[in-house]
Amino acid sequence: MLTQKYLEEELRKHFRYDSFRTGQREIISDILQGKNVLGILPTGSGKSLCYQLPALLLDGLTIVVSPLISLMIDQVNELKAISYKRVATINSFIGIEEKEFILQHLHRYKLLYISPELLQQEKMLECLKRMKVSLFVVDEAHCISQWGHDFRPDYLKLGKIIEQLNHPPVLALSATAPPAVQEDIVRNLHLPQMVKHIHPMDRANLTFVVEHVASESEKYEQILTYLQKISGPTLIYFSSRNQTEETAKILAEKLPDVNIAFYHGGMEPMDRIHIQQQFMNGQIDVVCCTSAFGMGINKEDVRLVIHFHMPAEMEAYIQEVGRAGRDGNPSMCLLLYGPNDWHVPKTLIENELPQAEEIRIVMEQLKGLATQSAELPSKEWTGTIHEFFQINETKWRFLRFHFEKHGMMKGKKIDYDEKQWQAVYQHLVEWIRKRNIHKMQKLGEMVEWVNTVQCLREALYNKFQSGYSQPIFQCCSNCGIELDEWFSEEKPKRVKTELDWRLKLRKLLVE
Amino acid sequence: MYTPSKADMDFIPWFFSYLTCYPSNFYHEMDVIRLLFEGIILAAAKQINEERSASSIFHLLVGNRNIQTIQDAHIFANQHFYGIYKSLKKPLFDERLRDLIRRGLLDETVNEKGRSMVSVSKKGLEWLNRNQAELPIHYFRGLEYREKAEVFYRRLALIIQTFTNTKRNHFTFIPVIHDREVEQFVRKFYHRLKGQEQEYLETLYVELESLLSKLQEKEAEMFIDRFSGYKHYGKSLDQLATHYNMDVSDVRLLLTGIIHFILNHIEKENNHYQALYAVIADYKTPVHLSYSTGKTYRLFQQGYSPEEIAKLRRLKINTIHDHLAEIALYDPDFPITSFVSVKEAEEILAAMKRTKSFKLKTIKDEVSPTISYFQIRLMLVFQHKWQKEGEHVDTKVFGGGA
Repeated sequence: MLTQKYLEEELRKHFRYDSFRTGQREIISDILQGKNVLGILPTGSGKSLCYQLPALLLDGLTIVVSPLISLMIDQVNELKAISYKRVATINSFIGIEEKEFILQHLHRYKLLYISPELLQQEKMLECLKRMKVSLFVVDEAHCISQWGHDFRPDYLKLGKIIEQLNHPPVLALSATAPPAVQEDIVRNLHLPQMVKHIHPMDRANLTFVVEHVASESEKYEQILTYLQKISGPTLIYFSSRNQTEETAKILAEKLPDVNIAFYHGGMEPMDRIHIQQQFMNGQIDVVCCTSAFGMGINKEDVRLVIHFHMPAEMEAYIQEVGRAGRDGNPSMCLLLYGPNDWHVPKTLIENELPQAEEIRIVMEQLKGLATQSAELPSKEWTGTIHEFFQINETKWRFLRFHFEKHGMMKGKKIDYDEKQWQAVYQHLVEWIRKRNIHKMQKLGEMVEWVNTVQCLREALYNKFQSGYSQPIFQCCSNCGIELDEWFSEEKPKRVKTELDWRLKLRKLLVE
Repeated sequence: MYTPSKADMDFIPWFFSYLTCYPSNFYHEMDVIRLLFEGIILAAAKQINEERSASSIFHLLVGNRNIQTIQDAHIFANQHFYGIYKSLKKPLFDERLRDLIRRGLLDETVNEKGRSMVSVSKKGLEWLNRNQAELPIHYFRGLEYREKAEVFYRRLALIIQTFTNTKRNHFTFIPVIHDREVEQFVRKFYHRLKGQEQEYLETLYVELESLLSKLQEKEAEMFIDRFSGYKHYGKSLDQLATHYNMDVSDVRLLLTGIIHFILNHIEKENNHYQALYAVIADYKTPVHLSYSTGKTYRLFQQGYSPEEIAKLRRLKINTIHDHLAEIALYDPDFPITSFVSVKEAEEILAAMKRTKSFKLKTIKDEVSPTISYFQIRLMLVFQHKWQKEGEHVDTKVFGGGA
């Protein structure tokens, strides 16, 4: 039944592709045989198809856990657009009514995307337990590892959830998981017998360029130079929302013939779809964005990816430049580096997890509560619990997870034991200190790469795998590049015809 | 050129009432235009005139559901602004408020409780007078449309996108709206009209053309620019702001105003706008009453008197009066004359005028002891309607009892 021909026919029928991309068929075939699979496939290689197709072929429900809500929403939309209708997503953006509707009609769906926080809810689990779960997918599986570039404490509970769902076959997927992280995934999911499909992540069609600049204004000059030399769809990544807006404005003034827009997570949903789809549709050429953009976007011909700010680690960088050149044609990845650019990621790292003083204060407050009612505030406190403790939600979720793990809390109940609490405090502070050191090392690697005089391609990929393919075009700025050889077409001047609104309306509706 | 009709003027505060047309120099070339949002804050502040805190304007614009906010919208005749800027964030509001104070258009005083109160300064009044002709404030009907307008617009956007694609047999587009309720409506709508997409779209063209002709050219254009169709995705709010050189808050508010304006015309002349009316004909604006008030409301609609309801529900008559005062906030057809006679109404209004106050206690002390708090509360809500139409007591509003 699992012949190559059968799978290819199904692929054509449901997705209108003629053949599988590297790695997909092997993974799908193992899944259909009920094996637990760990798949490491480079960004843009069609990871999601590895569960989207099996979900249709298996007879129960496929659950996909993903931490990226915008990605879930995009994928659901894309699937619906190709008539893959039996798909839904449960995340914190959807309303209670919609969530109830989905839960009551679970049998209608083949594929359910869910965020890890919501999967923890008792009621959710109860509903899912009643279903036949034929495949459990852990997307962005590196989030399970404390050493991965995007650690999510909620992911650590997945092993237990898989157990509660009566051990359905598991598929763990990631684009960027070096060996240590792979081990963490296997260990934390309690699945030692996982079949591994590891594929090289290097991309022969990407050219890497690092430009060192002395100031922000020099970054703008560089951007203008590269935009003029390399034509084609372009993404410019920033680490701040405001700066996407400001830069889009500045560039639009300088380049009146190029259509430039910005995109970030603070925009309203309809506008986000507008910008994404305008980019897909060729209505805009350049998007100034945060890392929220591009996750679910499958644009083949992105020619240029610029990093206005450096990411905090190589894994994130590889993922973002992976959006360039999915069609296999030469594409450029340009990173702009200014003298103090490592400050921002450093601050982000330091603020991600609670600091010793914050932990101490939260524990003091908890102790106070323990002596009063032995419960977390509920009735008298109208805000959220993290507001009660005056820390952000991520930090509170992190602490709650660890407090529960050490038996200091269970649900709303608090159990105070001085000696043990002291030990937990010491343990957490030490753990966070180690993790921050680790993160700073990762940042150090990134800075080192930016400053290296060696071949950038070699320095980038050697961290993750042994060997890489030879570039099909220019290699990197350290090996030497020739900007004039890049494809640059004299763009036909966009005729900005200002139509009368009646003509616009006519064009929209009746032509 | 659009001339507002009598009905359009219902919600316009008095100082806009001599507005008859508005000129076309709305859009200047150079600086980003910041007009509408500021104008709305000033207009609302003028009505409130230090009787409430500055942040009550914020609650008004975002459409806060608490009774105080809704009651205030009635008391200060700010109903048209209620809930017209739901996504407004407090920091942005504060920033604009600060800016208006800094420029001397608003005067700030801090009351004994430490809350900031604002009033429109002389300079602010001049600003309003100077710009009033350019402020399309008469488009807004917030209290009535804050929910309906959004549903109408989202449905219309998805219908246009769907029909312009499916008539070309193009079924693989990314919908610009994902909202189960809207999707379901459009799906049904599509099945009903399948095969007749072209006809429907042509009718839609005629109707929209006729409605948009009543607006300014730029307003019509902006409204159209946001729609998505076949292989074409509409402009985002920020793109519209850049394109028309306007502040993004103004873009948002202007679009909301245009939608209210269109919706109002569709509803009034639904036989002229059948294609558009079909988009919203089935929609009933939900009435957000508390559970107990809702029970009272249903009995009241069945024709029970307040005394009978109190007996049936084993509640105090005062409680039922509280419920009815809440119901009066939402129900434009509330039969106020069943509870307040013309004579009593005039006495209460006179007391309000004399004391220049909206405080229940102050008014109560000024009227005959036979007039109850309940009657005063009702008059606070209905004062503006009464003043406008009271002279020739309108039979619809003030006619039949329960």
